Amino acid sequence: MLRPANYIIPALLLLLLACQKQEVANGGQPEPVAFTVPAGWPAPAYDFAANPLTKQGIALGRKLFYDGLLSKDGQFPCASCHQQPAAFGTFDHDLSHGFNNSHTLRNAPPLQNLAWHREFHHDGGINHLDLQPLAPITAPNEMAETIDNVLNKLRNDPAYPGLFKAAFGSTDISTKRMTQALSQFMLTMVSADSKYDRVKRGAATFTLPEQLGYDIFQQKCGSCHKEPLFTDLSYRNAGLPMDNVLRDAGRMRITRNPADSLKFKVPSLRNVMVSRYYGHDGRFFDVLNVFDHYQSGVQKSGTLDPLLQNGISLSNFERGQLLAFLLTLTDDEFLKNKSLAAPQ
Amino acid sequence: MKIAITALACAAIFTACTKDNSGSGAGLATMEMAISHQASGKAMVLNGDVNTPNGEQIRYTVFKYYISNLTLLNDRGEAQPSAAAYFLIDESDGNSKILPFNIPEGNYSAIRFLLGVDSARNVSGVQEGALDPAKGMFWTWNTGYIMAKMEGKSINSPAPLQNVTYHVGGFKQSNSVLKTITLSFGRNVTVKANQQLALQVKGDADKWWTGAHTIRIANLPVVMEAGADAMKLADNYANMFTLQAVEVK
Repeated sequence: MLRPANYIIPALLLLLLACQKQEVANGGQPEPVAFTVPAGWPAPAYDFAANPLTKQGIALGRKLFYDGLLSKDGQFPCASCHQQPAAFGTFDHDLSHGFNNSHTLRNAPPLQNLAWHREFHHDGGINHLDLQPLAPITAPNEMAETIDNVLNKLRNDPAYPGLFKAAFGSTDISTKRMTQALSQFMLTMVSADSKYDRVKRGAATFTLPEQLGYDIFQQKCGSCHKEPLFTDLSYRNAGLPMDNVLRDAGRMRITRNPADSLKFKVPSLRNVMVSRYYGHDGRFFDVLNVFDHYQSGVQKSGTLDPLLQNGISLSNFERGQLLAFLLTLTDDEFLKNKSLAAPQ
Repeated sequence: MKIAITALACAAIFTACTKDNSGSGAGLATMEMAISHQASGKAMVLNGDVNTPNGEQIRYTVFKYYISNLTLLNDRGEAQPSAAAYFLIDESDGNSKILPFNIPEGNYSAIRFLLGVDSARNVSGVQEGALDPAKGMFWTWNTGYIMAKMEGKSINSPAPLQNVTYHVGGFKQSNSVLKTITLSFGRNVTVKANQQLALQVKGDADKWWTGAHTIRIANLPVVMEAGADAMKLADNYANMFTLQAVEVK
């Protein structure tokens, strides 16, 4: 018969190991990755201390972002609506497609420079980047899953437990870890290397039309599409009449405050020329349609933005210059960055 | 024998890794708050038919809510350090209705807690444990916890499938349903080190329907967002708890 001591000593050793594992036994410590704030930009809103970027965390988030496993039928990864060539918006679509031939309520917003945003969605209903993925994952007209199902699929996958261990120190797969990994990857989607940025750094110069367009932009657009993010992150009614089918009241859906009726978050103009359609519901096919709207389509209402009471006059001459400037906001380094593309 | 020893060793591992939070030199006691739910004057039975106090029929199917920021008040009415714990009380899960935590020894006169999840936890990203959004008590499209959830079926409901669906939430000042509940012991209770303070609390579902507002299923079968209706339900259910027994063991 074996004596109890024969068990207890190994058990005690195991105990010591179990307690030290996280500090010592992790030869594959996650490798920290620094987040670079472009020169002249404000401090990020995201709390990196609560979710430090690591090489392994970003890699896990990248795999999750491109994995259909997060959706009910496998067809709708995050990347199905958030496509890199469209600055992580949906290329050439007004509304996006979701599970079972459904459509989304709104145009998928491009994902860029998210570290500077405090609220997400066109209506700002989500107050933390880590929480954002839970909305499309569980929306019946998007990925149509439940959080528990997704976590179980990840736990039963041959690859994911090891990737979670590499990123977070153990094979535990939880809502928090999954969403923090997604955040880590999405935080690396920084667009700050367009021609505009190079001009600001003194590494390039605008052509004459681009410079004239920049002057017009600063005069007529820049108070809402504020540099350097090209959005002031506020919610405004830009005079788009409510669509009779979508019946989307915008920010008021969140706040229930009639003063917020028809207000939507000001979109960034970075990469605007590759991220059509425009407007919260993608009703504008082309930037020229947007110019037309501001020129003559702004609908008056009690919540119309004060800056738009008389629309924005834009002569044909000005439109040409403005287009030339907007093209300088296209960031090819970002749009073609291989580390943001689907993992091989 | 083998199994017993292995189990013992495993238990030792867990105990060894669990941090002892008691810290201070004061003697440590324990507290246990046991909640039992009632409906229509009897013990609540999910999927059983009862009437609301307003005479409408209902068959409760889901009855859940969060309790947080539990703290005891001492004999001078001062709050003692509270447990940083969040409890999801679920009628369908017996274990969830017993809330255990450690308290310092002392003289106590009342217990105070928040019915809901404090606003701080609504604005700091994805939480874990009882607050994991996967628990289904969370609005993903308009960030915030569902503080309390009552679902059922009623022949009086005009909603599809005769559903009654109350998902009560809202943590911002303008739409807050957070309710601070204080239950007085009616006397001072001395708890010494290693003793257990045992509280028996009744949670009466009938209170959801009456009180500051009369809630009729026929008029209001569904509340699934923050706002005036949710606040009415919260005004009512804030009165659902009564302390039935206080005992020191």
